[in-house]
Amino acid sequence: MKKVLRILPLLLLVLSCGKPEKLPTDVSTFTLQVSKVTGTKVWFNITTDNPNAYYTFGLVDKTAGGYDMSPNEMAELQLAFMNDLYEAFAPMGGNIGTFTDVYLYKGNREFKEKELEVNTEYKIFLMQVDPDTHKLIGNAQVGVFHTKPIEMVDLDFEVVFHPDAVEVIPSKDDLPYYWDYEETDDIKDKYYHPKYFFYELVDMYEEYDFIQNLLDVGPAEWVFSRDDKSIQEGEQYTLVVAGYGKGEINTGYTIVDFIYHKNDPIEVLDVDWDGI
Amino acid sequence: MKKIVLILAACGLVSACHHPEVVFSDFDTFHVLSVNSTDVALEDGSLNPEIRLMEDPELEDPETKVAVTAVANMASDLLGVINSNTVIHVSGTYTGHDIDDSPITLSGKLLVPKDGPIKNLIIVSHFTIGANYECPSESFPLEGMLAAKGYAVVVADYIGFGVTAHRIHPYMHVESTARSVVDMALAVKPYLKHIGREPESEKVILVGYSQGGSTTMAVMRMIQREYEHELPLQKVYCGGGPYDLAATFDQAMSEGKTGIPCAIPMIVQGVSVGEGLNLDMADFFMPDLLAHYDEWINSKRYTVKQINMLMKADNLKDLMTETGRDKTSYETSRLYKALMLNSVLDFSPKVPIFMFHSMDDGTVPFVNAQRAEKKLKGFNVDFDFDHYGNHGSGALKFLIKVAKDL
Repeated sequence: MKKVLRILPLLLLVLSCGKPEKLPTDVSTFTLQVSKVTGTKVWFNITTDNPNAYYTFGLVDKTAGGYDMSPNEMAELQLAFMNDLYEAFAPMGGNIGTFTDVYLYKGNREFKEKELEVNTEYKIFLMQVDPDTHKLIGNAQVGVFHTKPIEMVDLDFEVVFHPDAVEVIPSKDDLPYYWDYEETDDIKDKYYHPKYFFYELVDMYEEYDFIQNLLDVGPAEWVFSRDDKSIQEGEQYTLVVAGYGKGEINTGYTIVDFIYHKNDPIEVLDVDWDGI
Repeated sequence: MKKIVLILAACGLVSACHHPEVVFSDFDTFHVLSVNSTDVALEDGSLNPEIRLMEDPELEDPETKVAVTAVANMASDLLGVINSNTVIHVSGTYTGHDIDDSPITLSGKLLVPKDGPIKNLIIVSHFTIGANYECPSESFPLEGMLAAKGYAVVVADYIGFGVTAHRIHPYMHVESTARSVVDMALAVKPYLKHIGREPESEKVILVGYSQGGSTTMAVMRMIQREYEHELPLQKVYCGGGPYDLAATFDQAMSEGKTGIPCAIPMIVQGVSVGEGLNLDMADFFMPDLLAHYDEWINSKRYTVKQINMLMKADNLKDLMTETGRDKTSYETSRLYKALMLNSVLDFSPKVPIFMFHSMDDGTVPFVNAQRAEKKLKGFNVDFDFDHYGNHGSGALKFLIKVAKDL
């Protein structure tokens, strides 16, 4: 009887402690759910039953080699690629974090991937990863989605400069578009090409659910000294304008380089961005 | 006789080697306004009450007292090994850049240990204050305690405080605020050499919490862009920062309230001034706030906590007009666009960062840290996010971690 009495509190203690916390290397359950797809972007959620588990993912489009590999084969290929890339770049410095910092995630998260091919089937490979060995744990999972076709619209733009002002004149008065300008040097340094600057800017405004507030329909006029206090006399800027609809840029880009003067005519430059 | 001569010569040598008294005189880059000496810890080991602590907008007065006691108890923990309990703090002026880039005389504080060598220059961006007497040049700022560990600590008054207290502070206009911080560091560096207290290492360390956290990120970006050689970075510590003002705006609007009501008039006015938006405050503020914001905010007579009490509300409907709360309205969309562009996360950090945020922070919401983690993924950033209590408690825990890591 005494023995039973001794065991009972022990049992109660064990039961009250609940389940032990899972380790990062315990095979864990993950859920992958695609929530939104546009022409060049996808949003998806990854949830897991183990907050300590590390995971990563890779996207492969249907035209890529190995698209029909088994999930585990593709996961191992992707992990090997990540390792090779990390080994190649980490020694070069540049304040790069650890492999875990660069590639791995923990906990429930929403992801967004952009700059995808339009109207193309993709697979998302989700894999639990051992943070020490960088090897696959358990089985990889796959999610499939198809990017949408973009309906391009017949819209082009004329950009007319006046002293201290610019007018953007679209060829049609009923289609939305966005335009902006930036110091040319900043575009070269950060984005390489104005179309990437424009794409990133639009993407940022979308992220804050704000892009609709910034679109113009019909001619737009901008007086530099009134509307932009930071513009610099004699500085070179690059103006980009493009149509926008259904979450995507839906025309080609019109790019105009100019040197700003408040009191003299603004100089329009002939810059071949594609030739740079 | 020979022995006496030898001893006398040795005495003379010792006397000649004695470290000369440092004269904190004017220099062409930094003009001294006042020099003070403060013991960080008192004889009984408690924190010197001269050191200005951070007010906690989330705490009522009795709780603040508890927090203050806790800080005093944590002082030794915060400092660890003290190199010099006595810190010399010098208030001074320097020529910096105004919002429009024209030259302007600004002020700030330099703190150095009374004795011993100086390891590095620490550039501190201070947290939100309301009253001018709280500004670095007028007080002993909390982060100045780090000087006792053997560092030269420089803390700029932002535009709108110190000798420019008559001006509107461009609150959360990160470019001009970061510019003041960098300008002061550039002015103080040759001054330290002039007074014989040049740091042993040329590498500089950045530290900031809350408003100072996001300013610190902006300072880092500015130094990387423009002053890599003049102010080579070693490490950056930032905590509890509103790195993403637009996301902070969105969260406050979705919850209908804010943990720091005084930040609303400060941000709307500050960003408007900084960005030259010329916003009409009547479009944003409800009548009571509109009638009093100039006195409450711009007189610089009230602390953050006092302003919050004067405002008597944390519900956004009681503080902001419907137009002001609607980011799609013409007026607010101009402000919101500026908030987006004042994010400080759009660059690649070149040195390690320690980023701290309490997940319980009701003043600067945790969404800021989540945004930062997303943007800085892959870089050498030590994200320390946990349940560290409210904003004020987080400040202390952050500083303790910084002090221990230094």
